[in-house]
Amino acid sequence: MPERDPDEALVRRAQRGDRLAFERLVDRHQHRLYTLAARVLGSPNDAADAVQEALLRAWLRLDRFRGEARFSTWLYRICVNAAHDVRDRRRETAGLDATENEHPDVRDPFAERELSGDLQRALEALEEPYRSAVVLADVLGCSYAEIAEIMEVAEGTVKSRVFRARIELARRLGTREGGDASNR
Amino acid sequence: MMETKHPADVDLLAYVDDELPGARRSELADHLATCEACTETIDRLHAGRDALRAAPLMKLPPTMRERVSMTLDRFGPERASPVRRTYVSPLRLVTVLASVAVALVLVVTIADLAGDGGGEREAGGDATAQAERGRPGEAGGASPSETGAAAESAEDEAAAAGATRALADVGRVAGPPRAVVAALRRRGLDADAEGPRLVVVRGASEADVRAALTGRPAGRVRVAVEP
Repeated sequence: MPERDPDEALVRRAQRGDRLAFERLVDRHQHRLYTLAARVLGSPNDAADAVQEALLRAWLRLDRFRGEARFSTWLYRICVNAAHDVRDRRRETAGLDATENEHPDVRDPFAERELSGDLQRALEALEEPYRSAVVLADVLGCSYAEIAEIMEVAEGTVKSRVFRARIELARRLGTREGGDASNR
Repeated sequence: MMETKHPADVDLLAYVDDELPGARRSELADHLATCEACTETIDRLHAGRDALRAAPLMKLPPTMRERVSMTLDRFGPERASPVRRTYVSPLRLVTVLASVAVALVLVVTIADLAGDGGGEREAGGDATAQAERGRPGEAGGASPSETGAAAESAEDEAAAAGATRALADVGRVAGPPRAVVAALRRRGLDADAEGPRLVVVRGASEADVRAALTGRPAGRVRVAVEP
């Protein structure tokens, strides 16, 4: 790795079972994970579910993290997968008989159900691999090499996805330079 | 030297990202000076990137952050480590204290009804300890009223029958059972619904089952492992 992982010390403590160290890692990454999930899923509530699921998976599988990638990269990969799982579950439960579905809604009742704004609409018009790739690149500032690790594809594939996603976003937002920052 | 063909997409992307080596960058700049189509592509790449960069980071609401800690408490691994410390958030503290209070009231009430002052202290100790442990064997979500002996209801005969089969409880999650079964089977686990409130998983570890159920809210469907 070219740079030392800033999370390394906390990760080592958490791997020894130090829950407080893991809570600090959660504090450090929570908003970026939430942004990633929210931009991918388009729903604040679903994003919170995905973040919760991702962090629990990370805690349960922490011993499998070997430090070959940065901890944040590993976490983003888990978060993207969790977001896809949440999306799949929503599609599945949408088909269930409402009277049978006893899911108590423990999520934030005051959260918006959907993100609004031109940018989010433009993002949601992108097919999934393109959406995640461009969010990782341009919202979270991940390098193409990191995104390749997160999405488990070749770096060239990532570049191709980001290229197409940016072009498509610009087309949907209008091609004026500087873009449309409206997002909520 | 003018280029006779358009640069590759990957080069245009690298140009926008300022990642092209000097010589290649000037070559491409020369091309852009005469190529309207490539200039337009570059403008779009900038616009798409800048729109996302201008979007602010979204903040995970504090209630959701709190939920993460509670979930880690509920499903987290029992790491037998000397450095293990438990993060006790204010909300969780209130929840635990409320559980303890309800358990004590129940115990006092039961003891009063039984007229047996001698058993009160001992039973109270058990209930308090149970509340403080947060019932780790159950996947949380138990309301305070379920914390005491009254929770041992017979509402679920199948679940009660299951208790005689040496099942290891993993937790209680939101149903319906067939949705829980579907979630478990998606992870390759051998699960079946055995009644309206019981799902049994065979030949799996509790950790695998917990991992398969992460993110599912707490509820009334008991999930247990049969060795």
